[in-house]
Amino acid sequence: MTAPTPTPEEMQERAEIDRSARYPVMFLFTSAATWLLVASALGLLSTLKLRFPSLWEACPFMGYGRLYPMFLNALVYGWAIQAGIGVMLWVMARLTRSRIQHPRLIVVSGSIWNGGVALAVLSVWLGAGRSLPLMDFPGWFWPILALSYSLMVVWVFPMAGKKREQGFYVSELFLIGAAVWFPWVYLSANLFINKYAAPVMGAGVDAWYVSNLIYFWMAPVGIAVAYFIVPKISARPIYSYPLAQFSFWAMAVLAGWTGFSRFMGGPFPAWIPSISGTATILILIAILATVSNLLRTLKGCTKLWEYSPSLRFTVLGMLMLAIYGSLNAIGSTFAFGKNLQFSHFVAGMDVLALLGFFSMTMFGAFYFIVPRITGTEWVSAKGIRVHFWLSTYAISALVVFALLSGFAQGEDLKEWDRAFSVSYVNSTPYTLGRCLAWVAIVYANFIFFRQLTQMFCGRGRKSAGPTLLHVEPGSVASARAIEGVQ
Amino acid sequence: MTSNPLRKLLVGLGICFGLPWLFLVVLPYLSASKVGTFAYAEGDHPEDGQKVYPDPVSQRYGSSDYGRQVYAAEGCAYCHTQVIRPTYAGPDMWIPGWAGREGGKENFARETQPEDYVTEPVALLGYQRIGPDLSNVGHRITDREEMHRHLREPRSLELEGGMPSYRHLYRRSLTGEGVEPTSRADALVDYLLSLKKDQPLPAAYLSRN
Amino acid sequence: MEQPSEDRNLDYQRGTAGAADLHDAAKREVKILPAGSGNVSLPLLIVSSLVLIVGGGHLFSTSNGFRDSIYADKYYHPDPRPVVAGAADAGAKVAWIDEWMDEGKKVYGNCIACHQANGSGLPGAFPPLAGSEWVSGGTKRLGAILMAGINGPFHVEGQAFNQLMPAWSSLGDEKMAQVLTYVRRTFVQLPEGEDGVVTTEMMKSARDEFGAHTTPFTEAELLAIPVDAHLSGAKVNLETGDPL
Repeated sequence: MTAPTPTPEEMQERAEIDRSARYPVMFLFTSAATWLLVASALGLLSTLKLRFPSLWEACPFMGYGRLYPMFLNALVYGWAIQAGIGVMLWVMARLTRSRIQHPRLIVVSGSIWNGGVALAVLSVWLGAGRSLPLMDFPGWFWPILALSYSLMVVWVFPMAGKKREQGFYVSELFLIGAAVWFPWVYLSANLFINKYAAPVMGAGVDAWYVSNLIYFWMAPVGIAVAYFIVPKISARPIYSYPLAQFSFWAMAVLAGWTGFSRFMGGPFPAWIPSISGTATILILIAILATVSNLLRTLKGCTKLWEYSPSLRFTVLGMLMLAIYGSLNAIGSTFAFGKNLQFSHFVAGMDVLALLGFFSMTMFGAFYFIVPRITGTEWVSAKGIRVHFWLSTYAISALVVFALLSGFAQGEDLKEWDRAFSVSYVNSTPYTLGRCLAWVAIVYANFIFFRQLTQMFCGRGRKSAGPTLLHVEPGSVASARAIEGVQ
Repeated sequence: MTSNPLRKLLVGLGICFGLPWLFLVVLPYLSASKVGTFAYAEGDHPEDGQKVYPDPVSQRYGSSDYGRQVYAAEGCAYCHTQVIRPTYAGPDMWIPGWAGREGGKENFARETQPEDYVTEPVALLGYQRIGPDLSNVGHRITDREEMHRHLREPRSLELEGGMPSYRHLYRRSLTGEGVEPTSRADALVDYLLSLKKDQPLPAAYLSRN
Repeated sequence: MEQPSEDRNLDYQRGTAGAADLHDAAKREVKILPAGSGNVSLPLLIVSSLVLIVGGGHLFSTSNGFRDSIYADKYYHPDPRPVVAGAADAGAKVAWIDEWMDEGKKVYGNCIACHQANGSGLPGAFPPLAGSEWVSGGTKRLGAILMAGINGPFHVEGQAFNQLMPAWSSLGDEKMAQVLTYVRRTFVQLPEGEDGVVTTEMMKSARDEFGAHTTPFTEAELLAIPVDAHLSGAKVNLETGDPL
């Protein structure tokens, strides 16, 4: 079965939608990519400081305790959420065949969001942080962020509510879910931590928030993108709609219960981390179902991901999601968690989710969407290749180093008669490896950023042929051979 | 199709998330916000008067409230935890000095309980253990000067440790000789000295369930 | 096929082209087909069931019946420290004699009221232990004094004292042995070749010999015991405490 080619009217409709997305989505994309660059630099700096604690000692602003939260927050609020919103708006507009409304309002809200995040990250830098992962911002920032988020994402609902003949496409389900859940999670986490005091639960809710951000926002957005890009590029239908629906509802039911297992054995009623751990284990089913569904869709046309950058990044991101889900499930059982909890494993898992899974999937979406809304093609296939391979190797190395040093740290702590510093000393070679990986990530993201801004400024490649890997741009023979790709 | 599919979807999503939200967050939050101090009578002699766990005197120490903010602002919780887990969940109880005072027949080592954090707005349970757990650091380091030295020049005490110097919390002394702590450093030391989460649990507390 | 004109995209880029003037990406893109309804694959089914079993087991084994307690096990009691390889070595390094001396020092707490912590006694009131010929001499006289006490007048380092020291036999043989070891090894210069150790076995023999003596000894009775006489008992290895 091959996909029908669209009629000229449909093509025109597409072009109009893309055009309506141009300013709001490109604004979100470029500012997200800027934040990604900032976050990568902060990741490098904080890891350097971790390996060489005596660096910049006299400077109050270069402590690990300030750089690391800045890195996490810049990566999540600056890059991940903004990129996600942009992708969400565009995919939703395309799927519901409606133009993006109120582009100006979205750009203004996006600017407020950017300004808010910048101020908040700056205030952590200047010493107003709260040592709560992803809740570091001073208490009065959250209404700004909540408001600007709502003004950007609320437009998903009129699109989703349009009269339709068929049910929801899979990606729509996931996108609507993400759009509903995030504000709920964000508001309740902020209200509970900032307004009402219950000391231990505050810390627990923070962990719950971080986990929900990943399973209730990043995972749905990433999966929605994959369910959009995979059939587009392979020109095949999704292997199984029931399976996709099942994984969506399984995720919806389970994701809200995750998070507290970060504090297994902590001062909570034991059933709270226990139920969280169980949900983290069970959600693996939803993730594996999604990934297998996508891989079955692609079965037999694996050659495509040699050529198509979007498919490459997206599929790799999905595989990383499967790895993340599995490791997270393993880490939330007592048998493994007792050694991995509070070790470098935690940091490795956060990087795996944010950079490995989500960013990779977003890159895939960017490589697909940006040529459409700018009307130009990516400048250099070589640049994309470098971005892909550097990112893949560096992020994998980063995660592997962090996980290994996590295991080592757990083993060192079990030898309770040793000095604590032994566990730090034993982790230093891994940390050095992480520094090197960060250098590569910064470089890769810089290449990505440069290409993106070139296209943003109208200096993209003007050509009918897409920028594919291993194919000369515009070459006729190859364009025929891989018809439909991109 | 008469009913709006979006509305149906939204209701489904709301139920899916509403359940964990209610049972995992809201209700435990409400019951946790009732966690306060635990009053009890000592042993068989109620006439000795009511005692309180956690002891409010030992929990606050000088400007430890401000010190807690400094602790959070410097991101200490990204490298130090304040949680002692039961032995099935980690080796915390075995590491000497982490879980509380020990020595001879006296052993106060125990797991941290929700009540241990009641004086803080949000418990700083921590993210990673790049440095040791600090639940009972007030027992491990009892001397003010030593604590200051740990902050100012940590690697003079532990050559290979990963602790960076917090030199910026100190300024040149007015007399020109040596350095003196700023109010932030003093508050931070107050807070660290106040970290003693090993008050023996009263029997009434243990048998309350 | 020829290269498309550059201008078309450029116009679009500048926003001057009509919507009919499509960019190429929109043209080459295919439509998404309605999703299929493929079957669940067997491996996925097997892995999912395994995950389900593990998850259920986890909830069952760690939720502690949804009680309010922070412990995952109703009958939780902290496990003792496990023996780690390094710690066993460290334990062996503490010599028997060091522990014996530490215990002796604790028992000596009974003596400091009169003899003082540094063994100097109080001149004119209580006799010194430091440098005393009674302490540096044989253990038999010391054993006798601890078992039954001593009543004045008596002489130490040439000074006369008129005091009653009560019997300490109620301490038990081990503690008496420990405190005597502590006193002899701490306060005096012992003769060449002597380690100053008093063992429990030696104090047992003291109890056999002097236990029947119900009144405190006088100086004359004690001087009748030879100055270098020792209580009978095997010498011990100072590292392990085992009899040689």
